[in-house]
Order: sequence, then structure tokens, then C-alpha cells
Amino acid sequence: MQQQVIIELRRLVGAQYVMDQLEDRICYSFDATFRDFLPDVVVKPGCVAEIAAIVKLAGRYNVPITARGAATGLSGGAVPVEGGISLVLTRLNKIIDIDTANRVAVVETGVITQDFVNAVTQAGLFYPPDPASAKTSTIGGNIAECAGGPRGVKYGITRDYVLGMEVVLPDGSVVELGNKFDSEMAGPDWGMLLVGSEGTLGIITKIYLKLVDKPSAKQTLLAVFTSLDDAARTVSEMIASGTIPTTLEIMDNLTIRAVEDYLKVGLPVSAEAILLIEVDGSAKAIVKQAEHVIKVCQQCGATEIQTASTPEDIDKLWQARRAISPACGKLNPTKISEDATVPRSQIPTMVRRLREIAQKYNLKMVIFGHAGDGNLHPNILSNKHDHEEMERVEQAVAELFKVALELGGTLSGEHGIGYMKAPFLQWETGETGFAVGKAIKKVIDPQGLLNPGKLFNA
Amino acid sequence: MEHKYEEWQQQLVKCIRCGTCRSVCPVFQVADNENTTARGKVKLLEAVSEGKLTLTTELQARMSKCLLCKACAAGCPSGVKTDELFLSARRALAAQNGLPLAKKLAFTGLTYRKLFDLGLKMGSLFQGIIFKDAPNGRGKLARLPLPGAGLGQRRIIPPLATSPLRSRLPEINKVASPQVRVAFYTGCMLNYVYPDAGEAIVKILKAHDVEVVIPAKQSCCGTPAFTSGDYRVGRHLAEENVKLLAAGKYDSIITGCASCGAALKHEYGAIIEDPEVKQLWKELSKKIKDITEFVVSRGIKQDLREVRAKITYHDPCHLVRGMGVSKEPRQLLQAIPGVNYAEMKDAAKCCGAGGTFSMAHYDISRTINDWKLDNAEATGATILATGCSACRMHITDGLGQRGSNMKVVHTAEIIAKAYGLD
Amino acid sequence: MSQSVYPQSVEELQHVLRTASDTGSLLYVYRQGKPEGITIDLSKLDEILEIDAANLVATVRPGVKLGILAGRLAEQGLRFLPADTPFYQDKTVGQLFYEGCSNLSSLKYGSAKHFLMGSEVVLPTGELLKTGGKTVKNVTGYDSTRFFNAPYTDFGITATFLLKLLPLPETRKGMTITFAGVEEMLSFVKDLKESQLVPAYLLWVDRKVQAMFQNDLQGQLVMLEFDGVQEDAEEQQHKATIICKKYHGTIRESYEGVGEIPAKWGDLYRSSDKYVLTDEYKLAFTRQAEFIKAFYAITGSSGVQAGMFGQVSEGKLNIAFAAAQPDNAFIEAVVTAVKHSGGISTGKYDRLTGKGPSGILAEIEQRAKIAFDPKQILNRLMLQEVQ
Repeated sequence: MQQQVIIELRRLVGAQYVMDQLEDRICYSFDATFRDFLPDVVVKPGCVAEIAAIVKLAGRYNVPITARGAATGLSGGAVPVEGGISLVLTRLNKIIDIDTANRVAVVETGVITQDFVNAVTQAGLFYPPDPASAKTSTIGGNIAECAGGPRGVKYGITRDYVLGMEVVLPDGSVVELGNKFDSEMAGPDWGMLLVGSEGTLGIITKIYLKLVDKPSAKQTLLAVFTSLDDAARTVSEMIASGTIPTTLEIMDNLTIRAVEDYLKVGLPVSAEAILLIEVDGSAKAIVKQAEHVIKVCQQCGATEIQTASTPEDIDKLWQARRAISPACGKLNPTKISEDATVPRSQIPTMVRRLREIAQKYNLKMVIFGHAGDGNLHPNILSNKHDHEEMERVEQAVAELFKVALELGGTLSGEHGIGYMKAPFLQWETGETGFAVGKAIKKVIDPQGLLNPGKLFNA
Repeated sequence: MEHKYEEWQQQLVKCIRCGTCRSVCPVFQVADNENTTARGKVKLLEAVSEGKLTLTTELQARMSKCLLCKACAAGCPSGVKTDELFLSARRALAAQNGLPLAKKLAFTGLTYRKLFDLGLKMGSLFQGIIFKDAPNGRGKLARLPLPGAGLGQRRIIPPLATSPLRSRLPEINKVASPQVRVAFYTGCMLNYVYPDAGEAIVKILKAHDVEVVIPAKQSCCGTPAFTSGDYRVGRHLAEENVKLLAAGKYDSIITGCASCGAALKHEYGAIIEDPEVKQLWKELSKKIKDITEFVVSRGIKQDLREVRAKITYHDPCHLVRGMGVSKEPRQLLQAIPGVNYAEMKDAAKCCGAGGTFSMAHYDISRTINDWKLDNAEATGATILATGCSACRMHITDGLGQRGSNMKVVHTAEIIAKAYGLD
Repeated sequence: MSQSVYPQSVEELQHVLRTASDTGSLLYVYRQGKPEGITIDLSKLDEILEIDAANLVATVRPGVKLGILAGRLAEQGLRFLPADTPFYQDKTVGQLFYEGCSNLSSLKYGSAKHFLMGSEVVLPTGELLKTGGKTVKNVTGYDSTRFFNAPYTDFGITATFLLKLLPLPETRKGMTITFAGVEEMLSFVKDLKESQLVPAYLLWVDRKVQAMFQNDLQGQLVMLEFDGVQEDAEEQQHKATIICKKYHGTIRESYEGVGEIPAKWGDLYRSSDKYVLTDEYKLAFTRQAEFIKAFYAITGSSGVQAGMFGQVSEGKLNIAFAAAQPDNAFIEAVVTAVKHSGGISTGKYDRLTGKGPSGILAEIEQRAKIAFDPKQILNRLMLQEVQ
């Protein structure tokens, strides 16, 4: 990269917000995936005008830009694969407004999601999307990757809550997409196109989000099964027969053992699977929902059902779910987390095929996830320094994707494509879909400035 | 790959870069820079171990911008021992690049125990030349800025005591019918700056029929030295202290300063090299007890005097995460009649001192401390109790600067009051 | 004289577009076009291909009428929210998405666009583009599902829709109320919101519109329904009744299941001999009062016969004209009033009248149009020639 670019960047944002020393560039070369790529320079703009100026500058010098929030993504979205500018957006961190009367929040891209959620809760309302990274990730990052979370089955995902946004386009224009009322405009849905666009079409700087009312009560249940198949069947039976729980999480035997070993809270280690189910709504509604849930679980072969309604008891049940990551980290240093998603009715088959894949490639795999929306998280526990095993892991992952697509599913329910899944993208889109994706990118970013090396341009 | 990089590898390989450390790191919360996060520093060390980066002074500067508060290690879902890793890194960097002259001199001075002692006694006599009194008897302010010592003119520091603790009390403090015999490892701050707290500790111990030996030949625990990477001085002090304390064949070693306690109990393990001394240390470390831990294990006394006050408690990093002690101070405070105990938000979050960190990075220190003070003041408490002298000093500085009436005391001083020993 | 074609299969539709692309013929779908063009009428492409209860997805063709779809789904205890209303019975699925019709239950259940899980779009080249799928969560690639099925967006013609279903509620309890004036009506709605009573739908019809449709109940009309489990719906209806009395509302009908008065308003959203402009104006709930006042000032001073109706809990207000054609000057005055009250226009009216958008997004839209429809065969309108 030309030194002139760095000089101009310093002039635009101030020297203290431009980092070009190796020791700093290394710190911005990664996210939560395994590969690193050094940016040529790291820039931290303080406002939209600076971002627009940086984009124009980058366009003049043909320097790629990779936007970065908290870089907790699992598909590589924030990693500057082709070097260039790492554009850190965390200085834009104000919650501009929480309008309780109109149920709309206006928030800058760099606000940490949990901080936003807390502010909304304080105001007496509810922002449902709950990605696991919420304590660290930024709301802008959530929107760029269309983050999910356990509440997806009932409340939907990030995309359902985006009304509109302010975006800096690849030519440096600052535009508003969607609106701040209901997201419905005539003409192409630019707002929705940007959600989940992984930083390849524009830099999201401000977002208008929909807020809803808080449910007044909730209840959590734990159902134990002696067969993973029974647990998987319960998932689709429950929803097909009319109860949509707020969350419906599954954990297989290996996961249960790992968590019990780590937490020692008395999980049923002989169970083949457990389901963690939460229902919410009015006090009366949850009674009915819980009854129905229990009925379905029993009908499908649950051997034991625990219920919790106090915050302490509910938290205890969720502790186990939250402990999965650290518990697995304790077993093996390298955890390859996948999020291939299938239609709910295919979960039993998917689980079976995943087990077969693990056996075929002789790998340790735990299966857990948001069974309620078919978003399983098969995690392969490995060691990145064992090159031979990593090759088998790669093959297993490719086969896992094939199976998911075969069953009518998708490569990614939550994490995005980035560079991690880009090699498989066309398997899902087909030739026509892939060409359309490339065309959309070309139309909006003809110079290919934003986040190259990802998605349709990997 | 060199030996030390293999050691590092064991920890480095565990990092999944999830970024949870970002959400708990106080320095990151101020600086908003990935070069201050645990995962950022891990990545830098990974680069060193892969030959992509050398042990530069730039690297050293970034590695020093860390409180070593252990919040990252405690919160890491993968169990990366970041605190041990970063200490090891500072060691390697200090070996490569050396330390600033002032630090080198100061740390070397620590190894000359008698000279160090004399120096501080003289210092207490002449401190008025460099320092003046802060308003309301809060402490001392530098008359001129002393950036080399991290002393701007707004920073309030405590005066050196005219009579250090170990001069006030005999080496052996006997009781009528001793149940156990302990060594009281005072550490520098209790000795030279807060001797009243030290006296309170001895009184409490005696009230529990404990014979208290305050070994005269104890040296500084070495924390300022080895946390900066000076392992030559660190090792010297560690081995001296361990040999001294082991020789006494005490039932327990009592500490009243969390940093000293954590050093003796844990950190020395990575510093001591002599295998025999290492073995001595292994046995000794089981006996290291913070005063609150020790009192609770002996059983809190029943007939306590009333202490009418609203009290809140700050967990020193080295006590809650370094020694695993957090329940006992609260048990003690809440057992005292008349005490209205109020738990503050984020009680276990670092106060921002970080020992020598606050000298090199006072502004960051101050911001982190201000958050702590906001939380403390929000409880409405008039007294803040804590178990580390460095925390005490830094919190007192902050309270002084904002004109607060809240008093800071060592937990032992409240207990002593409740025991009727003051 | 313009021709019409009635494709009965996807292959036929593909053939029509492929041929038109080759020959450069103009095609019109869902819109009135140039006389030399060919109108594609999708009413014969009307199968309900599959109702997958386990995955809560229905796969349907564009010509399916929402009323018929609702009936078939109800047989299995299911519903497609945008169709679960007495007001859209004759609309087709294709129209629902092409015209950007609001989901009348959006207050409680969200926008219509979020009930579309996937689609198959016939591109102007004749190729078939598959978007989305049966999974609730899908972040693979771009959101082509919503991009290609956006209102008045002509990059292709959708031949298959994958619709998100929900179970039918245990019960519905509705009420029809009239209020003396707009102020009382708005206070009632505000009170409902503050009491956290969320109706499945709430519709306001002003006196002028009531008169236009010969259904004047002599008051500001509000139709609303609560749905859910029996006890909840009852409790909500009860609470709403109390709030209604607070603002001196008159309850015209109170029912469980299907209401008589709402059934009489089936024509409301259908353009017939009156010009009805829906899904154009959006306002913050709290700023509607000032806009409504301004609107009546405009009707008063202009003498144009027009009234308002819509989802007043959400700031989604629609206009109905007694005449068959809108008055442009009137519309301009309304747009000004909307902006003055902090609201926006969606741009639907401009597109309908061939004006089209302007600005950087319009430029990008043109580039996209050229990329997907290079010969511009689809919905090319009078004044909308692309350079």
C-alpha cells in the first residue's frame, strides 16, 4: 500500500486513530476463525463523514476495505483477506434513541449488543435476537452477518428487527435504506439486501431497530431421552402440533458428558439426548404451552422432565447450555463449529448422518444446537497442529454440507459464508444463483472494494 | 522453536479468539484497541513463536499495557492461562530489551534488604520536601510533577509511616496458650505505609490464640520486579523469602496484602528455579493464607462488638482471582452486628491500580478507578473495606480527588474493631 | 389492443420470458402496460403445491387467492398470517408481494416480507433462480428472497413462493367500535399500546371512507381482534372494553370467531371504482394526530372527496378517493403534510404513475435492472425509459 494513503488517512481521522506498525496490524489480522491475514493499516474513524471520506480515498487508490466490529464472527467476515484497510467501527458507539412510544431504537454500528439489550430492557421493552456473542459483538456486526441465537424459533432473527439503516456505499455516498417505521418501501429491498451482506455491499453505520413488548412470564423445561432420535422427533412434533417454544435446544450424549465433566451439576450422563425448552408469554399461556410441551415429550419417549420457573432455577438449567463451549474447549484445543441447518423435520436424519460422518472420518464430534429451527451445531473437536487429522476434518465438513443440502437445508443458519464456506457456496446457490449473487455485488461495488475474498468473490 | 515458545504453545493453542476477553478487560474498555485484549496479546505471542515477530520494544510496550488483573483468564471459555503467559512474555522481553533505568535501580534496591529498609525510613523523614499534604488529610501530593515516578500533581499518595510496622512490634508475639504458630508476612506496603492495618492483623491473630512471628529478615515479595519482567531480582527475592519462611516451620503463613499472598502462593512457582527451593515452596504454598481466610477457618468469634456503619467491599484481583478468596471477607463483615453490608456492582473488577501499571499509564488507571468509585458510591456506603494495599492507595487517591467522604480501610481494621481490639 | 397470456406451468412462464428476451417484446405482469406489450396473467398458475405442517411451510404458485389458501390451511389447523384476514380474500399471493401489501396483523406478527421463506424466480433470460428454502434460518449469500420479491421490483417473475406458516390460534375475540371523533379514537389506541394489549389486527376507517363504501356507522370506526389461548383473548377483550368505555366508544359488535362488520369491509383494500392508495405513507404513531388534522385541512380546502383508513396503531395510513383517479395536486399536498409530520412515502405512487425514484439508489436500481433484464422487457412503462 502506498505511504500516501496512510498519510491521508492520518489527516482524515487523526494520527492516533491510524495504526500501521506490525505489532498493531497483527492484532487486527484475525477474528474468531482460524486463519489470519494482515491488514496494511488499521483505521478507527469517529463518524460517518470520516468513513465516507475513507471509502472515497480507498476508491481513488484502489485499496480494499474490510469493516470490523468486535471481530467475533465465525465465518471470517472481519478478516482482511486481501490486506488493505481494516476499518474498525467501534468508535461509533452511541445508543442514539430508544423511542418506547413508537417501539423503535436508533443505534450506532459499534454499540455492543448486550449494552443495547440492557438499555432496551431498562426502557421496559424487548429486543429478542440473542446471539451467543452478545456480550462482545457489535450490533453492526450482528446486522452485517444477520446473527441468530436460540430465540430464533419463536422470535425470528436479526433481519426481522431491522427497519432501516444508514449505510456508506462503495462510492462513498451516505444513504438511508428502508425506513424507521416498518422497513416496507416500494422498489428493491436494499435494507434487507444489506442485512447479512457480510460487509461486501456497504458499511453499515446506523440502524433503526424494531422493539417489542416483553413477555410477562416464562418457564424452562429439561427433557431427558434415552434415544437421540426420540429427542429429534420431539422437536418437529412439538411445533407441528401447535406450540412454538421460545427456545428449543438439543444436546447429545457427548455434549452432556463434556458439560458434566466441566460443571459437575448432576446432568444425566447416561441420557442419549436432552432438550432444553423455554416457553414465554402471559402466565396463562405458558401454563398451556408447558402442558403441551410435556405431553409431546412424554409421547415421544422422554424419561424425565424437570421444570423451572424461578429466575435462579431457570438460570441453572441454562448454565449447562452456556457451558458447552468451555467444556468442549477443555477436551480439545481446536473446535470446528459448524452451523449447517436443515428443515426441522429432517433433524432426526441429520443427526444420524452426522454421527455416520464422525465415525467415517474417525473424529470426535459433539452435536448440540437450536433444534427448534433446524440449526444444529455439530462441533468437531480436534487439534489444528495435527495436520493429518485436520485433513480428515476438512473432508468431514464438506460431507456435512452435502448432507445438509441434500436434506433441503442450507450451509449456514447463523454464521455466514465469509471465506470459510465460500468454496461451497455454489453447491447451494447453483450456477444461476451464484451468477445472480456476483451480479448484485458487481452492480453495487463495481470496483470490488469492500471485503474482497469473501462470499461471491472468494 | 525455542524452549520458552514451546511452553507458550501449550497456552497459545487453546485460544479460539472468541473475544470474550474483550468483554471483561478493563484496559480494553478504556482503550478500545485490540492490542490491549488478551486474545490480541496471545496473537502477538503466537506471531513471535512462529518467527513472524521479534521481541521488539514496541511489543514490550504493548505487553506492559495490562493490569494483570486476571479477568481474562477467569473468563476464558478455553482456559487459556493468559496471566501466566503474559508474565512469561514480560520476562522474555525484559531479558531481550532490558528495563528502564529507574526500574532497574529500584528493583535491584529491593534485593539489598537493609539498605532498602534504611532508605524508606529516611524517606519517611524527608518526604515533606517532595510532597505536601493533600486537603482534608487525605495523603500527599507531589509538589512538582514527577512523570518518571508516575506522579502527576493531581495524584494523591499515602505518606510513609514515621514508624514502620516491623519496628513497632517484636519479631515474636507470644500468647498465653498458643493453638498454632504462624509467620506474618507483612509485605512492604503494610510495613511502610499502612502499619495500623498490620497491627490490627497481629491483634486479631493473637485474639485467636495464635503465636505470631514477624520474621525480621523478610524481603519484598518481588511482585513489582517480576511483573515488570525482572526475573533476576524476582527470583532472588522469591528464593530468599521461601527459604526464610520454610526454615521457621510455621503452621501457616499469614498475608494481609493480596499481591504478596498471591505471589507467595502461586506466582513464585514460575519464578523459582533452584529445584530444592522449588520443593520447599511447594510445601510452603499450601500454608499461605490471607488473614480473612485464616480467621474464618479458625471460626469467627461470637461475642463481637457493634460497628455501626454502611460498608462495601472491593475484591482485590490478587485476592479473588489470585488466591481464590472472596467469600471470607464478606462473611466476616456481615457477621458484625451494626454493619450494614452493601455489595457494590462489579466488586471483583480491578480497581485500576495494577501496581506499576498506574505509574506508566495513570490516565487509564484513573478512568478504571473512577468506574470502581462510581459503583462504590452508588451503594451509599461510608466505608470501603479491602484486602490489598495497592488497591487501598489507588482508591484513596481517587476518592480524594473527587472530594468524597468515603473512608478506605483494610478489612482487618474493621474486624479488629469488632473484636474490641482497637 | 394488448395481448394476454395465461401460463399454466413454470416451464411455460420460462418460455414466455425467454422468447420475449430474444425478440425484445414487452411483457407486463401485475401492472397496466403499453398497448403493444403482452400482459402475463398468472391467475391460472394457481396450485397449492404442498403444505408441510412439520416444517410450517406452504409452497404455492403466484395465482393462488389468499382466501382459498387460508381455507386450505385452516383444514390443517394452520395459517399464513397475511392471508388470515377478511380484507385480502381475493388478492393473490403474487399480488400480495408485488404490490407490497401490508400484513394487516403486522403489529403483532411482523411484516409480510418475513413470512416469505424462499421463492423460485423466472429471470428475463428464462433461467430459474432459487432463493431461500424451508429453513427458518438461512444466511447463505444475499437475501435474494426479499430482494427479488420486493414491491414494484421488476428483475424477474416469481413462479413459486415458500410461505411461513403458524398454527391457528385457539380463539379469536373481536370488537367493532365507533368513537365520536379522531381524538378519542387515537387516545383509545394509545391506551391499548400503553396497557401492552396487542391486538392481532386493528383497523381504523374514517367517516369519509365509510360513506364512500356506503357503510357509515356514524363514528370513527375501529375493528380489532385479539387472538391466542382462550383466557388471554378473553382477558384482553375485557380490558379493551374497559378502555373503550373510557373514551366513550360505542361497541357495535363483540364476537368470538368471525365478525359480521369486518366481513362487510372485504372491498376496502381492493381498487374498484374508487382510487385506493395503500402502503404509501408511514408515520410515527405519536405523530399521526397532527398529520390527520393536516389531511382533513387539505380535503377541506381542495374540495377533493377523500378519506383515510389503515393500521393506525402502526402509523400505516391509507387514502381512498371517491373518484376513480387520484388528484395529483392533492397527493403532493398530502406528501408535504406527511413529511412535515416526520413521515415518509414509500415511493409506490411514483412508481405507479411512471415517475420512478431518483438519487443514488435509483442509479443502482437502474444498473441492477440492466444486469438482470438487459433488454428491459419486463414492466417497461411510459415515462420510465432507461438510458
